[in-house]
Amino acid sequence: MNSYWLGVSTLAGIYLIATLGISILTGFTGLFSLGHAGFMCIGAYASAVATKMLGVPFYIGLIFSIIASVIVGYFVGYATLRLRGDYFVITTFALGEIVKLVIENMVTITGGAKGMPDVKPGTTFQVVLILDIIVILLLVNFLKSKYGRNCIAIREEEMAAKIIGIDVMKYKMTALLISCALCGLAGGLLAHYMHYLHPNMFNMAKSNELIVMVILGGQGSLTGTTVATIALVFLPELLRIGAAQEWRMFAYGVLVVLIIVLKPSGLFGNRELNLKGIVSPFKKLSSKTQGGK
Amino acid sequence: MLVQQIITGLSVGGIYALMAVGYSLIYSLLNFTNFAHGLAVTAGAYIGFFVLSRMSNLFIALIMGIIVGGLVSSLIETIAYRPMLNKNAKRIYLIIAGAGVSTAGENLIIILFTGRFKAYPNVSGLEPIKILGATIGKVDIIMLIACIITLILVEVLLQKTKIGLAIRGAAFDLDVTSIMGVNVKQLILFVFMLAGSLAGLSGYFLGMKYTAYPMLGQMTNKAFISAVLGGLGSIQGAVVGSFLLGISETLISAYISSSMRDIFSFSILIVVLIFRPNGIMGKNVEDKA
Amino acid sequence: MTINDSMLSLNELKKNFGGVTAVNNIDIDVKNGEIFGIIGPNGAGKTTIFNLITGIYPPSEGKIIFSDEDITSIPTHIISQKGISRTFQNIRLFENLTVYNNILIACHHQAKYSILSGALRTKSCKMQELELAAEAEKALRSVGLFDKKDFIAGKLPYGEQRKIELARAIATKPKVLLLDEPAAGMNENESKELIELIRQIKDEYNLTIIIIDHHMDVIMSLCDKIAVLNFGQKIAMGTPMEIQNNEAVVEAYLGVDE
Repeated sequence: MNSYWLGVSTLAGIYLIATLGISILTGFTGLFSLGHAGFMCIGAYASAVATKMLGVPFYIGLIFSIIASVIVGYFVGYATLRLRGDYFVITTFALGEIVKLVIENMVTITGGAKGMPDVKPGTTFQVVLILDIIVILLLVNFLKSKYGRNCIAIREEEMAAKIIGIDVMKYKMTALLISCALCGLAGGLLAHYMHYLHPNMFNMAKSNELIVMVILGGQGSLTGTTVATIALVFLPELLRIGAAQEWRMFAYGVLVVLIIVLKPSGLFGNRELNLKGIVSPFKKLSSKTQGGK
Repeated sequence: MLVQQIITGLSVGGIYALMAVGYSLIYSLLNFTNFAHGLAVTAGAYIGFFVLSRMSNLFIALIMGIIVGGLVSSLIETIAYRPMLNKNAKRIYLIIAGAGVSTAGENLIIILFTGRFKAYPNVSGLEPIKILGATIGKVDIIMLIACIITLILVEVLLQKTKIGLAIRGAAFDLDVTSIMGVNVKQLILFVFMLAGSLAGLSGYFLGMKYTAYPMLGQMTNKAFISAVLGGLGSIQGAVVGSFLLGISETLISAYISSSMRDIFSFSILIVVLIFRPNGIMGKNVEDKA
Repeated sequence: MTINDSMLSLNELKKNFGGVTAVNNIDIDVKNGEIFGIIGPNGAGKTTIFNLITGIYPPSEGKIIFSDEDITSIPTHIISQKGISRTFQNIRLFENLTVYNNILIACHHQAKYSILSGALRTKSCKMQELELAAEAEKALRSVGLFDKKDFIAGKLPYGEQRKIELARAIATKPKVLLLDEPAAGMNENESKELIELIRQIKDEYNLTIIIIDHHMDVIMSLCDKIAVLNFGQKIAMGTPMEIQNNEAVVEAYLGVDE
């Protein structure tokens, strides 16, 4: 494969890990975050710093990414999950800003606003592909299990979830930590792919992009998230719009509003790709043609 | 020196208050965070710039800022929020839509006017003056006075007029107010217009104090923080929170470091949410099953 | 626990909302295996009592004792896990999910596998999931909705939605079941069916039941004991016979014979 498109695919695969995590939080548990790029930022710098200063290998660096994000996520969750949904949104937004500001201020370690060059390489298409597959399998199982179902229950009707014995705080925290871990992992992968880090790579615009991918794909559908993420990473490249970020972000903003106003369930709603889904339209089609005779 | 900082802090706080009151009104009424609030601010700033580029009339520019802010806010309500409010959509969808509008709007401004900072042309009569031995910008004092007057007017509107009564009633219970014969849709539009006008005014001041630039609307983050600090749902709280935030930010910036300023503000938000989520003057609402 | 032991006891329960006293000094004792009715005009505080029992908000004063354990102010989900279940006056189903999933979710506490087991879909996880499926099927069959299990819950008629809520409540294997106006909106035939259904699941699942309703035929035929509330206070308590002949009750409330 042409190395340019291989690169784009790798990037799509990296973002997919992040958006799948956010999908669990937002799409399946109903918690909306405007600052998850912050967790990618934490993961990215954690791994970059660990591999640079402690000399650990790439894989260990990724573990640092996950742990760092999860720890921060835990504190954020502990503070705000028991509060109303609004507060959570505002806090995640504030968190995204704080993380960026803190990184910018830790100049000696992170290079601050000048960026951090020479990050160890390590992310390859194969690594990303394997991780994607593993993450998807784990999440599919998670959603099929009682843990996934309980998250969905919380999204649907929180009061009813409580009344049937679901510890809402615990599940919200679980969803949050899953999303933090995956965003952290994605951040780490990104760092070792770009070989360079800058706080602006994880700003508000990035958080928005991530959210758009989840909403466009459809809340409650991993398939939708996957399709939307791949599409939104490849599309600008295919159409060569990459030049002006403003145009892309403008389109994103409009897209979000259109989806939310017209079809809040997104492209896929809460349908998933499965064998039944592919086969049954064909069955319907064939029975129609027979009946029509 | 301290006096100077405090006056600066108060004037910053006044600007925050204009934004926070508008944000708080919408929140009290409809129970959601209007992330598109910043657009009205930015609109006010840019209009101020355009008017002052053509004529030296500060007052006209101010009025235009107010009007345009109100218009932008009303437009956003009509296009983005109303369809969903009519369907009684989940609040989270409104928040997402607001974030989308905000992103689209900011980038539209960059597309139309470039991302460059637009400094207001120098208008005469605004040199610093001396009070109590400290050098204080005339601009800061005028802004502070204008903010205070505006806030008083808003309070009068809320407490002494019929529409203010309707707003307070609707903030308490939207459905009951509707049953009482108030045209709630018009009321919502009015509140958005009011909030937008206040935001436009604050944008004009911000444009004058700093410059007009596309991301100016992000100052509304400080409005959110102020409103939470003062207590979400309380207009007076929003004002109190704003002045507190303005003063403490300025002091931190002056005596510690300016890079700590924003970290401080956002951290205050998280601290308040942890220890006193109802803010200074906020109300506690229990959920009826 | 034997038949005459106290299952649920409300002691001097009080709840203020701002300036309004919704529940004022309520003493109620429900024995194991009883069907206990709570009636009274709208706004008398009945649903508030259910909310207090299930921990949706804490009482201003007083205690709630469940099977010798003080459960006052304990979080809702723990109270559910301890064995108190309820239905809502305004049905709170998972409307966009299937009937089956509504019930399956409620069975969750019976599976003990960890998140990791779930994510890896271990043999133990799969086996426990099969058990859950069996439990869900049983609850659905008890209310007669098994053949509608793949319908979207929110699209079914009102009466059947109430049954789904009932099935969901019993799927959590409670000891005490709180029913908040289960007969609301039902006609005479449906009410008769409901009475039978409640008796049936009470026996099948060995339940103690507390029921709020305005349908006097349902209340009088089902309940062993009835408490009458008005303005947050208990104005009478006794057997259906005693209540029907109680002057204070007649004065305050009766005549709503549906």
